[in-house]
Formats: sequence, C-alpha cells, structure tokens
Amino acid sequence: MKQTFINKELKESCAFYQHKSGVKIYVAEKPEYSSAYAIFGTRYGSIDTAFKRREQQEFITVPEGIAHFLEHKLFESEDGDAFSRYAKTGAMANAYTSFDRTCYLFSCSSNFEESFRILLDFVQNPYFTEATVQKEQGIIGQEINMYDDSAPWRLLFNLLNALYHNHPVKIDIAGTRESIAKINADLLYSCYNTFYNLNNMFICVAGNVKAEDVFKIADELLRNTEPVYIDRARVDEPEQIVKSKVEMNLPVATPMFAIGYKETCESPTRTIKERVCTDVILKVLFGSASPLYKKLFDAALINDSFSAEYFYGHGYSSIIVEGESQQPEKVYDIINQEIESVRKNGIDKNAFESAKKSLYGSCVSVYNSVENTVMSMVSAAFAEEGIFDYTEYVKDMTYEDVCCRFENILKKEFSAISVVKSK
Amino acid sequence: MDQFKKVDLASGVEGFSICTDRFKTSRISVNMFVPLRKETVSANALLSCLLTRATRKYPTYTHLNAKLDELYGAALYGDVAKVGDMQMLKFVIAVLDDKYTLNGEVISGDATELLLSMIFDPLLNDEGLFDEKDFESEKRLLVERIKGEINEKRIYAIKRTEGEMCKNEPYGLPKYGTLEDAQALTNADVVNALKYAVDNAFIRVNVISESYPEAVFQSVSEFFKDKKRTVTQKDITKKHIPNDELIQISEKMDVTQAKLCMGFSADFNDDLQSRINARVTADLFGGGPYSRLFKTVREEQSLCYYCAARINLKKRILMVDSGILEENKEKAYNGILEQLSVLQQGKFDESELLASKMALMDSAKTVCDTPAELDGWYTAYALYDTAVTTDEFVEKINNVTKQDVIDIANSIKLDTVYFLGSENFEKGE
Repeated sequence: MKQTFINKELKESCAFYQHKSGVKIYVAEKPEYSSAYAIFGTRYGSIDTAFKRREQQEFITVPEGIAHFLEHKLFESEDGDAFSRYAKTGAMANAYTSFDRTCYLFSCSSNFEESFRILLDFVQNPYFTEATVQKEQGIIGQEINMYDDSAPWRLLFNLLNALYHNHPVKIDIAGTRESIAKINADLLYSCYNTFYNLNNMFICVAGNVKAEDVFKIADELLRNTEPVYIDRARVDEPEQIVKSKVEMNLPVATPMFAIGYKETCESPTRTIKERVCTDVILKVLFGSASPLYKKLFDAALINDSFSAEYFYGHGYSSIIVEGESQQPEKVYDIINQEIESVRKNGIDKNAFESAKKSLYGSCVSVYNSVENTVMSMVSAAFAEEGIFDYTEYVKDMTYEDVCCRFENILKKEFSAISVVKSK
Repeated sequence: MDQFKKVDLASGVEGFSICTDRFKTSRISVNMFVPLRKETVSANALLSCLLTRATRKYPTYTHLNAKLDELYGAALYGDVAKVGDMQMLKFVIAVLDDKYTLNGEVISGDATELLLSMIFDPLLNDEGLFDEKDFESEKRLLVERIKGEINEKRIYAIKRTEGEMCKNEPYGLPKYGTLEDAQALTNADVVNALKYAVDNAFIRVNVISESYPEAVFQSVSEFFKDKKRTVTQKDITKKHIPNDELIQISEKMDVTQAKLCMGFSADFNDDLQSRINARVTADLFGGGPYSRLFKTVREEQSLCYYCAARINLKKRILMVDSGILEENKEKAYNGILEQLSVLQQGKFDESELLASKMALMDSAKTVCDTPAELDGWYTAYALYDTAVTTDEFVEKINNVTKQDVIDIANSIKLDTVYFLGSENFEKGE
C-alpha cells in the first residue's frame, strides 16, 4: 500500500509505503537539498528487558544493556564491518539506542543507493561469535566508564531511580560492566530474532532522493519473514515515587539539579494532545519569558542552563526540570509554589498565545534540515501517528485544552529531586 | 544553485548574502573579529551575552523573550569563539519566514531590527553604561560558565592541552578568559569592548534568506555612514611556534575514565590546496571509522572508547584526544605515535586515502543543507581573502595524493602531552 501525505501550509510532503515484509517506509523528497538522511529502526530499546514471542511459554529476562550491545555488534559481519563498506561510499554512518528504540542511520550527499543497500543488508544479517562478543565487552566497558563520569547522565538516572520502583526506564541504557559480562552470542541472537523482525521495524528517509527509488531497493532487499508478535512483560509501577531526594558527588563546578514530576499513566502511551499541551505548559511555566524564570534568575538561583522537558515512552512519563544552582532545594520550593499559584490563578492567556506561536515556529523549523525531518518522521512512525499530526494539533489546540491538561500534571506529591555536586 | 553576493557596507564592514528558498527560516549573523588579548578576552565574552539580554524597545530579559515567542520562537543569541589568534563575537537571529506564519503576520522586519538595534543601538544608561543589574547577572553567568568548564572532561582536557601548548601565543587564552579575568571585569570594561568592536573590528554580516537582504545591509550602512572606522589588522594569526622541549602535564581528578591528549605542531603553506592536504591527512589519521586511530587503537587494540584527531588549519596544530583506562596510558600513547609513523612512511593503502577523501567531500556537500552550517562555512572564510565554495573545496580534495599526505605527516611533531587520571593514579608514571 502506497500513499502520499501533503501539507500545503508547510510546503512539505511525505510518501508512505507499507511494505509486504511488514516494514513501514516513509520518504520525504527534498530535491532542493544536496544530502539525504536515512534511518532503519526497530522498536527495541533498553526498557525491553523481559519479553517473549507469543508462541513461547515463558518470559525471558535478558541482561541490562543488551539492546545497546546488539546495536554495536550488528555492524559486524563475517567479511568485515559495515563501516568499511560505507568507507567506499563516503557516507557518514552511525547508530544509537535509546530507552525504546534502536536506530541505524547514515547521511550522504552522493551514492545514496549504495549506502542504502548497505544499511538494509547489514541490519538484516547478524553475525555474532563468542570471540567478537568478548572484544566488544572491552569497548562498551570503556563507554560505561565514560557515562560514570558524566554528571548530566548520572543526574538523570539517579532521578529516574528516585521516581520509578520497577519500570526498566531507570536502568542505564548501556547497562553495567557486570550485566554486559553476562551477554553471549546466543542471547544476542534471541533478542535479534524477536525484535529485528521486519514487522517491528520502520525506515525513514528524507532529502535528495526519489521515493520510488527507495521503495524499489526495499522491494529488492527486504526479506519476507513470518510476523512475530512480541509480548513485553507487564511492569507494575506504583503511582508513588521511591524517594523524594537523591544526591551524588562528582567533580562539577556548580551543583546540578533535576526535578522530576512522575505522571500516573492509565494507558502506556501519550496522545498528541497530551504531548502538545504539556509542551505549551512547560513553555508558559518555565520558559525564559515566564515570571518563574525571572524570579529564579533575579535571585541568582539559576543560570542559562535551566530547562524543562516532557520525558515519556512506553509505560512511563515525567516532566523533568533541570539546571544548575547553589541552592537546588530552594529552586525546588519556589517551583512548587509557582505551580500552586498558577493552579489558583489560572494560566496567563497571553502567555499561552505566545507559547503556542513559539511551539508552532519550532515545528516548522524542523523541516529546515533533512536530519530533523527524519527524526520527526521516526517519532511519528514510532507512535503510529501521521507525519504532520503534531504540527496540525499545535495550530488547533485551545486554551481550555491546556488548562484541562494542567490539572493532571506537575503534582508535588509525585515529585523528586536529584542533585550532583562536588564533595 | 544558491546565489552569493558580497558587498562592502562601510570601511572594514562586509555584507554577504546567500539567497535561497530552501529553508523555512531566515538567518542573520553579525560577526565581529577582534584580536585575542588577555586584557579584553573576558570583556568580549561578557559583551557577547550582555547585548542579547535587552534592547531599548524591550528593556528586560522577560520583555525580550516574550517578543521572541511572539516572533514564532525566533532564536537570538550571542557568543564568542577563537578563530586562530582572533576572537570572534557572533550575534545571530534565526526567524521563521513570513510566509509560514499562522495569520500572515510579517515578522522578518521586527527580527532584523531586534538584532541590529541590540548591537548598534544598545540599551545603555545616562552614564553610558549597561544596566548595573544586567551587568552583574551576566557576570555571574560568565563566572559560572568558566567554572563549569571542568564538567565536560573531554573538552576540558583538549582546552588544557591547547592552553599549555600555546601559552606564549594569543590562541592559548581560554575563549572566555580566566576566572580572575572575569571576576575583575567592570561595567566600563564591557562598554569599552563594545566601542572597540564597533570602531575597530573587521565585521562580516551574513544573511541567509529567500528575500533580498538589501534591507539588512542598508540599515548597517546607514549606521556606519558618519562613523570613522579603522581596522588595523583583519587577522593577526601566526602559526604555532613549536615548543623547544616536549611539554608534559599530568592532572588528577575524581574520574573513572582517563583522558590522554597529544598536541602536535604541523607545517604547511597557507594556500588552499596545502590547507586541504593537511585536512585530509588529519582525517586519515583520526577522522571517521576508516581512520588509522579508529581502526587500530580503538578497534584492533581496544585501547580506548574514542581516539580522534582534528587539525586547526590557522594555527597548524593537530590535536589527538582519547578516553582510556588509565593503566593503558603507555600503550595508547605508543599506539598513537605508531599510527603517525605509518602515515609518515606512507605505509597506508590508496583505498584508505580514498575513503577519507570521499567522506570529506561528502560532508562538505551537506554544508549547504542547514542555515547554521552555511553561515559557519562562509564565516570561517571571512578572514581569508576569498570565499571558497563547497564545490571548489571538493575539487581540491580530489587533488590530494598519497605523497601530499606523507609530506604533511612528516611535518607533524609532538609538542605537548596532557593526561587526566584518577586520584589513585601514580603521578609521573
């Protein structure tokens, strides 16, 4: 099935092809650009630690960090690695693993077809041996060391451990040196055969390409496989947080803080309406034009690293406010007071209108770059939403929607603060 | 093909426009180049932020940001960067093109005015100084930013190496100055820095937009119409003078992963082809995954998580930085030097050189695909006499031969070694 989505106001379009292998393919042609950017991704990330295929009886629990490990290993094949193949096309290739997805990507301004063939080929052809697995344990061990030293990274995971009792979002994406030591070739194949089934995957391409060319190569190289139905083990995550404060010592100049407001999730995923309204609320409440920002800034309690984001994925969602301050606790108090005061007095209508425009502006600006275009396509593909739905909803949302949303979020009783400071 | 145009707007003030309808936004940048000097480096850094805090029309940060939201989230910022021995003050506004606003509002004029008034008609009080409170807040931020440089150990290690390596040259100064420099700043220092930049900096105004940039250029020319400007030297940069003896620095901190940085001096001519030969050499040494350092020191020997080389073409400095287990210090050190010697002896394949050339050509062609990269590319050439298009760059990369790489590699000499280890690590090991 093929169709094309067009957004006249944005002057953008996107071709869609539901391939018979199960892969969903999205292509945004941008002939006026020199380069192209492609992602082949799967719904598989660090939170997928306990699962089974529907025909299997028992859930299997795999070592923490295995999705990321698998990403590293997939670049290898019996006759050399994917990087050495890309070296012949000039493309810049990479991959990343997040909480809920693994993506393989490349960007190029020539030889798109050859690079795209390499991408489709190596992701579909795993090759793991005990020897190569062992070698990788050394490299990833180094990567974990680097994350151990990263104050922002520790700050985030300490916070997630304070907010979540059981949800695997609290575990480090790369795992630990101990957990990755348990990984072997068999386990890797088992994860691969479950999550790299083409029905669980998507391809997004934007830039100087023709959709028909992309589809043709996909037809040629994507293998038809029996669909796999994946059951993820249910996580019982209580509404309550684990603890309201967590602190760690690392060499940083100014103490860093991250404040998290855990949201109670009745369904595992967040709707566009919930996301858009939350983004606007964060802008109104914490943006640099907000009264709160002025209050904190004038009192020298924050610097320009202050920011707020909506952090969500399958089965978890929180609002995270972070920054640097000599008095993180005081910042936390003032933020909670401000939230209460806005609850009492309502959201400022002018601030809502400006925040809406600002959010719309950032949605449009996404299409400035092929990379950001692909990233937004990946998010939409992942959430099974239309490519332009988020932007369209930004235009349509009302003040009432936002007020209604505000009632359900930013609850002090479900919040925690994480601090990293020097000894 | 985009249309480029360079015009003189005043003495030492250039306008450069790139006309394209590819983007959803317009971008204007004002780039002011002044010599890097110990006495002014911090004042310029503070100036670059202070100017973006308020304007006459929007006299507080809150007002200004409310206006930016109103302009569909226009991005406005100022910063400083080191370009050889010059310091660049950069001011940017990026705003949605008028045709994408929801109700047909025209916002480009307001955005242009915001940026230009901020620099050329700044908010000063009756005594000709910045608002004292704004000055103090911005000074606090600068101090925190300087203190915060230890947070990112990878960047910190590179900066420390550069600082030691070039301690007798302007380039050795930290880009925001030292903590003491920043703490000693007065309001008048910053006003003087502004006056100096307006009267004496070489200024390059870039406009990347679909509509003709005439309005922007006209406003700038208008401002300078009756002003006397003297730009004594457009660029004072001199290539790094190698230190007589190898400098070795070792530092301890509470870290799990150690950092090893090695600064090398290189020597080559200043013409475009020679610079590109050096760029390719550095890339083959430690650029992408096809490079010698990645393939051997990281992949084959598993000695580090990252090991990369980059070159500063103005200063002729090649910097290798790596994140390692501290017990591997000697092995990594030797491994890096061994790969340099591979290049010097020409013991690499043509296919490796080709991979590097292809990757560099490919990435050069992508520059035209984002406004920020286009701006950065042409700003980088502002100090040279001629702008180089990405097509010309690609053509020159194609010319690079194995012998060119061998020649550059043989000019590369180890100058400074910096090591950051954990508290438990034996110093001087």
